[in-house]
Amino acid sequence: MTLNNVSLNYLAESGETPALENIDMQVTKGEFLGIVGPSGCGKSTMLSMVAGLLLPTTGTVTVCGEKVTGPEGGKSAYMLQEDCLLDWRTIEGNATLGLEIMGRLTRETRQLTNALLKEYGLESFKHLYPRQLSGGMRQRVALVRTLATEPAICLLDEPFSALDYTSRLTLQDDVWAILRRARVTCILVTHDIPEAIAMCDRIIVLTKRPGRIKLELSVDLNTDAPNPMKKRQAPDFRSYFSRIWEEMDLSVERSSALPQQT
Amino acid sequence: MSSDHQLFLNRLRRTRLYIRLAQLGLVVSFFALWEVATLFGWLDSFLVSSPSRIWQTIALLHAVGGLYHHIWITSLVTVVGFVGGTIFGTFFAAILWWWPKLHLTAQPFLIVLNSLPKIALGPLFIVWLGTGYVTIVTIALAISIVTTIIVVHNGFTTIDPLKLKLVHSFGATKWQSFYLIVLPGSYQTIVSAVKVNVGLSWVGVIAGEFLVSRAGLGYLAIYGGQVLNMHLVMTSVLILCVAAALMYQAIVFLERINWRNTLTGP
Repeated sequence: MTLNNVSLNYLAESGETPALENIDMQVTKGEFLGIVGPSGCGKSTMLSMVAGLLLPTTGTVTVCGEKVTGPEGGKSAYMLQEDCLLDWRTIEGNATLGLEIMGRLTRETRQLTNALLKEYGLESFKHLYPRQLSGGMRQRVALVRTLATEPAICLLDEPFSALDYTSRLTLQDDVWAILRRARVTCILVTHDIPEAIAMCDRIIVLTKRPGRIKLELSVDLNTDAPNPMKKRQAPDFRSYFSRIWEEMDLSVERSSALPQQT
Repeated sequence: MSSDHQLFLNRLRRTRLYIRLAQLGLVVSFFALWEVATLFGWLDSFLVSSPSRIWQTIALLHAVGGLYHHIWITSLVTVVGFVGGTIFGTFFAAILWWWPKLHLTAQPFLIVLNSLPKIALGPLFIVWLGTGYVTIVTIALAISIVTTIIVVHNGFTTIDPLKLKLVHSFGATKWQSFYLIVLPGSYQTIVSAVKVNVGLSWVGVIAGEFLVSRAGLGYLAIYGGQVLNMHLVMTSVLILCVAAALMYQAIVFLERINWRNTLTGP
């Protein structure tokens, strides 16, 4: 996946707001990329462009060698802040939602979905409704819904921000393990720096609006920790944190001198 | 079960029982007082009727055979009114959701229509549609449809934007996002619209029957008024109370069945 010199301006009656400026980046197959930055820097906008929900003002977005011209199921799939499960559908019905929309719900894809549900310990709940499940289980259903469409890229838009601290840590491990095992390419947008360091292979730091790439760094913690929770204990973890924090902090300071406009 | 919990449950049960008893007591004493007051001449039974005379009227209507016909006609027209009002209202709300520019254009006219007392259109409907039940149903529809459009459209447009984003990212068409997210997500809004429409439909039907009908509870009331038979008026009002309450309870019951199904699964 590539973003080639991409800029995007939001248009409104009150004027034109540049959200992203001259973004160049690549994600290779199977990579776990993190995007961090101060709020309002256009992190989520970048994901929307990869998904085809927004089209860049200039530049091109390419996924799997094809230019993105609109939302298209199967290439990229979202995992959002909330699990967004539909209360009126069973767990199985929720998990197959993406396939149904794309018109790809066949016996094989249904079996694949059921296999995923089984793998993540949700099989005995598949005829229940979302409100009967705990928050962590609901997020796992949302993940199955995403993976069932076999996307080339998984877009994680602050997927843990609505959870309390403990469930967040547990679910980070869960989701990370599931995505790694599925060998899906992932882009994680977050404002939680430790989360990005613990989960990602590479991190991009954006500046305050209009978002530009400020820093790009590969994460190599020199540890054989099996999950994000353990990775947090790696000796190099702190240095990565302070490095990213400094970059973010500077941009926050500079912008707070200006009048806020949102 | 601990004794504390048992005590708590007993207290809860007792409170509920007292409330029921109080309600029953109110009804009984209301009718008793009414009866006694007319019996001793404190109130003129010619003007306010009395429970025993109402009972006689019901028995008489029952004997003549017209009673159930009147109840049936009025209830049927009311059901047609609120079901029709809800379906057509939801349909137009969907059209306005589909074309937001149409909604922006129509908005001031909707506001005018909403504030217009629809009964005032009665004479028009009579001239256009005659003096049959079509006119009565039309009045009932006219009363409920505009609020339904406004309320349901509001429900459609306040659907969780994240859910819409989710289905868009799967490449959903507008029709898919409507029937997968917007319509089922507005279920609660539509159910409350139905509840409001039941009440509005009764108003429309009774007003319509005042204007044109030859049968029905509204007809009984207006006829009773014209011949100064207050027993008949009171009888139809009382039956109307019971019928309207029963219909409302039926809706609540249907809603609960549906809710239980989604909770425990099919």
